[in-house]
Amino acid sequence: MLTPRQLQLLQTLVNRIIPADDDPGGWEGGVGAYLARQFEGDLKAMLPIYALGLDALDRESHAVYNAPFDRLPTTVQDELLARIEAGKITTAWPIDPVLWFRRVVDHCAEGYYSDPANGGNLDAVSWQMIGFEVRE
Amino acid sequence: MSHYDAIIVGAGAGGGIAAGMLAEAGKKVLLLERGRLLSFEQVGRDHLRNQRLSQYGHNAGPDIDGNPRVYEDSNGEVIVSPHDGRYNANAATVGGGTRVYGGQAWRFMPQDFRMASIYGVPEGSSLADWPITYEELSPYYQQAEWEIGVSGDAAQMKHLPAYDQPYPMPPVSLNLQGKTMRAGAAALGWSINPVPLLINSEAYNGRPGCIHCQHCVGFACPVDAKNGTQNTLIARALASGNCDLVSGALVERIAVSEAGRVTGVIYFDASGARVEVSADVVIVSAGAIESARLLLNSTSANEPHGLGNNRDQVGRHLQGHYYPGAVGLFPDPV
Repeated sequence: MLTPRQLQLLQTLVNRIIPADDDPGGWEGGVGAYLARQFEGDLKAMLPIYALGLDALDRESHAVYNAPFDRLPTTVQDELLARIEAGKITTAWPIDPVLWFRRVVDHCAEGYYSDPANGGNLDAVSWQMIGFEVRE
Repeated sequence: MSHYDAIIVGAGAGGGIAAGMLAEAGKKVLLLERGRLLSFEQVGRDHLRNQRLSQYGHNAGPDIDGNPRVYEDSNGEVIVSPHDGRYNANAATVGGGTRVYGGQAWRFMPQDFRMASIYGVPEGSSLADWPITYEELSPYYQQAEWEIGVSGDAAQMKHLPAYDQPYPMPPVSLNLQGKTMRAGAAALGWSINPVPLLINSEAYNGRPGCIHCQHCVGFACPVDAKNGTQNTLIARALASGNCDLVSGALVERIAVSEAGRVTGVIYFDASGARVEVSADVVIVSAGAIESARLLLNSTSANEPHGLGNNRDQVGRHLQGHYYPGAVGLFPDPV
């Protein structure tokens, strides 16, 4: 289980990876529901990695900007994430930050775009957005 | 013990065609497939578990549990499951990979048959020319294109010798991505041609044309406009009354007489019962890896290291499928 604090960080992170525009952001589009389900299934082994990564993300935010990640302006959040994505970190991470970020991005795409039977893509929102349909 | 003119191991791209040809020629055929016969609904639409993107599993076999392979490289041996890329899985279902493929139907080029002669043999490579030429194979390409059903434009296949006959159907119309690629190629001055596809661009062989539904490679076709062996040659084999199809049948080994002649096969049926069947001919069409495994597992006094393996070549020289790819961002939606 993620702590309420880690969940808050995760929601903020997911909504920076897939920000809301005319369409819902990642979390509201189903990534949160997808991950909740997958943490009990295929991604069970990833749950502790997520916890470590989210804690490290927040520590990095405090170290660089002297504020928690979810309190930063979105432009600054993106700046920090770009640094993590490139491996430019200033604190000691217990896991590989580049690999971790890449996996989170992949999981966001899975939850947002894959078929709703996987628990995400609520009301097929991303399929409506890109005009994907399966006719029978 | 039941006896057949021919037993075919593997109901995929190769075995399905052998079954159809032999059964229609009046031969009694047993077609064995270790996968199951899957409906459109059973193949499903799971974008994370399919033969195209196998993130957490796949949809057309082999089953994830109970079908391990050992992958070996310089780091040693590791057991991999069927949806691991290192497994090199072929779909295990009636139709094999043709049930869920994207259906590109390229002919090899004449040069492909003579790579060693044209380019030389790199050191350490076992590259060799084919024992046949493009010209010898060409009539069979044409037969397959017509019997299974390919959409394309033979006149535009300028990288090949002129076709004796056109494709049976005109090309499948381009989607937005195809139009974008075509415009890009034209801007670069590259010659282009429609991809020949095993997809009906119009009604053919009693089935409808493609409805352009965006649900294709990795999955089954909702209107059955994609042509595999399961809806062409295997269907014809079964309709002939001369072919028994047994799915869920895992062949243990090919039976060999004391004189060294192949006499049939021994397989486990879906219930796990061990069944022995005899035949005049056994055709092994189980894919590059499973065919080799079966031959190596079929020993006799004459061939103690497996059928056809007295020179230790069975299962060697495996050539995987190399997939280059590119990713780009476009200013407009594609």
